[in-house]
Amino acid sequence: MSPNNAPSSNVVKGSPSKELFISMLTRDISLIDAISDLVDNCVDGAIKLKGRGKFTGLEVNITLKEDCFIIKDNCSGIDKDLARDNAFRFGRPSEATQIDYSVGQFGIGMKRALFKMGKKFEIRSVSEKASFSIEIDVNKWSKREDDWDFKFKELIEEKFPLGERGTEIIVSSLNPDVSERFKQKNFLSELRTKLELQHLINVSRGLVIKINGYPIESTQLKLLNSNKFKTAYWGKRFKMYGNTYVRIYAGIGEEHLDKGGWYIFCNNRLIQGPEQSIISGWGARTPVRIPKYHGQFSRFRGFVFFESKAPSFLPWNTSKTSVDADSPIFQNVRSEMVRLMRPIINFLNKVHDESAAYLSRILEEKYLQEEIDSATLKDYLHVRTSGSFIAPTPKGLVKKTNEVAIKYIRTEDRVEKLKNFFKVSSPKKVGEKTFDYTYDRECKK
Amino acid sequence: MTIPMTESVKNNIPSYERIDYTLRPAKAIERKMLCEAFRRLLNFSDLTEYRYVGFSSVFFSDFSLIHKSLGLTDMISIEKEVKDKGRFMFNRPYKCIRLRFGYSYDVLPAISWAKKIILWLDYDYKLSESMFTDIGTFISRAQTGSVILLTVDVTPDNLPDKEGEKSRYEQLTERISKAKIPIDVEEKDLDRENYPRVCYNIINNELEEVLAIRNGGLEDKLKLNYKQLFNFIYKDGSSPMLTIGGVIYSNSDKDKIAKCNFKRLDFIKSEKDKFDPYRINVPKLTFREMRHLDKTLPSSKGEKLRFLSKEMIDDYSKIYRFFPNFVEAEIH
Repeated sequence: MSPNNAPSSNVVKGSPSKELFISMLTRDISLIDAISDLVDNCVDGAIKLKGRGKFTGLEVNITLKEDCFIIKDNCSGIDKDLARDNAFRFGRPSEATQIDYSVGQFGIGMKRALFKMGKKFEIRSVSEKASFSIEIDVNKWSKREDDWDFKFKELIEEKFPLGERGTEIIVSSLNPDVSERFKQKNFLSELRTKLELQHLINVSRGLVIKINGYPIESTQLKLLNSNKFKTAYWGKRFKMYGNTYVRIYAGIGEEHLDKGGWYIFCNNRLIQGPEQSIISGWGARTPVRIPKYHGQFSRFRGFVFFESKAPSFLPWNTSKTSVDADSPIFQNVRSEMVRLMRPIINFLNKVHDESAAYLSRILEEKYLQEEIDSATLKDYLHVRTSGSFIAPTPKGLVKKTNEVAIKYIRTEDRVEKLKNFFKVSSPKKVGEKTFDYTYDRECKK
Repeated sequence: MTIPMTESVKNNIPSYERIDYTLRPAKAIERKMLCEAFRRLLNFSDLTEYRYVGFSSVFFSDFSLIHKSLGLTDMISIEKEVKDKGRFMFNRPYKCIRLRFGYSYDVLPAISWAKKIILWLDYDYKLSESMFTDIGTFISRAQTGSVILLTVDVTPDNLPDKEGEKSRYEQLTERISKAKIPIDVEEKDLDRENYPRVCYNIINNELEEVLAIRNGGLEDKLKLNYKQLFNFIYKDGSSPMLTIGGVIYSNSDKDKIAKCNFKRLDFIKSEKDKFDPYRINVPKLTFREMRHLDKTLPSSKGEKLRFLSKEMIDDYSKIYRFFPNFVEAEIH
């Protein structure tokens, strides 16, 4: 290196490069999660406007086309000071003001989502005291090496009525792979399914989310309820972690392999679920042993809600796709989850054993299964709860002391003939009749 | 993923024991039309270089026709009813037909895809998740010039008439996951009139998605395109059936596909009219009526029969070349 153009000082460069944000960080998030992140911003607007009340009248419209992406809401808009100081900054300064119970707190989500999708962005926002627009051309911006700032294209400072407020973000010059995905109808269906799960609580609070004009549905978290079943409930406020309030509901629901497991929410946003791995306790060894998730447990449902005014205390990662499993608060809650799971696992094992015993004719009736069948599915907020899961206990083996079960296999055509002969309708009856027939003739004294 | 059992499997009665396949005129007509279209693949390569893969059932109708009229000798029939193996072997009309027992989603990944393939997934049940596996296998493996056909039962699900009964939408989501259902589909789209189109869209969306994934790994001249050729709707018994399909070809084979000139055949449904199904309606005519009409065809300006409706005559004139020759006699 020639000494002429080498920096004379002994400063080692530590500033980030724009390339890191444009093409590296975007790899940490999937396209669908990037879109979810933008929806989170809208939800924060809704929270700012309505607090913890109903979101009635608020709407998020997402439009995906081959050549552009638009997300538009009629929530509170981005405040101009927030825009100037924080919203477009990379990372959020620690003194930045927070919306209570918000979901977008890392100061990375929106930028990362936009960089992920395309090369040109346009943001228009109308808030209570000002409206502004910003246009960003990533190619031009990335060439200005040490200037990270964006500039308002237009700024009007006046009062805007509620009905006019909102934010619209348009991404054009889509990256080719993104444009290819947006063309796929299945991508839209997949996005819908994901948003329906992630935002189910916000949708049930009245927020309307539309994809290309079609509203997503509100999915309910349902548990079995009857006078014999009680869902396990546990709640605790963690004073040392920003007063985070945690609630756990654990019980049984619909039998569905793909839907069984834990659902973990942070400030009403689903972070992970159905979670079927060690993260949520499947295969855990402490405090009690739990088997790995499999078909026998497909009725298991657990819902965990972390809520905090200060979202930085919540145990989630920056892409909001996973819990921060190492955080002390999650570790603590996880041990409660595992504890609450065990009685449910025990019960589901008994249901399984009962079914096996019934099939091999050791049991005459499926008592537990009948109790499950006669219970009804209800939203988790309206089920009977208790400190631990309560379920009917099996009546015990109905097997009478001197009786044994016989099981054997014969070809269908021959069994059919015997059914006709004995005028009975089931193979089981054929077995009984043939046994009695032989016994009466050959063994009876 | 759990693969749902098909209805026929649940009932334990294979469809060939429920329906006499030889008495299905619409299906016979469709088969002949497909064969005529396959003939145009000559521009891709000699037809004898193709392999035909299908579900023959015990009647082997498609296999016989394709072997006799196109000369294909590499043929594989997939059959799930292993217990009737002997019966299938007995009914196999030609030695060149090889039988593979098992479910298509198990058999297809195991066969060789080195040749161009004509694959007819002639399901006799409703759209279900396991079909996506078969579409996926074809789209991710097949060579340029290969043809895929898929037939499904498009009878709408039961209309819930009592409270607490599952909506048609719910019944659909029990067979396929919601992430495969287009976002614009509502309960009202699942009626007799619109349900076939919903099935059509679901199948096509899947084809497109898998194709895009495969193309992601191919250089430009090898990138594959899907050209729809078929969109038939017909009904022999009580169930309406939908057959859709087409050919996949690489960018470098664009000229070849143009030379095939599929458009010359009036039952081909590609480009602009691809969404509008070609309906095979079989008019119930006597042999004498048909022979009479034959004399006035192909130009239909000739003498009409005053006791036949115009609709019957039009239906017949569309399909007369493909009409099956049923003979009601046992020849000794």
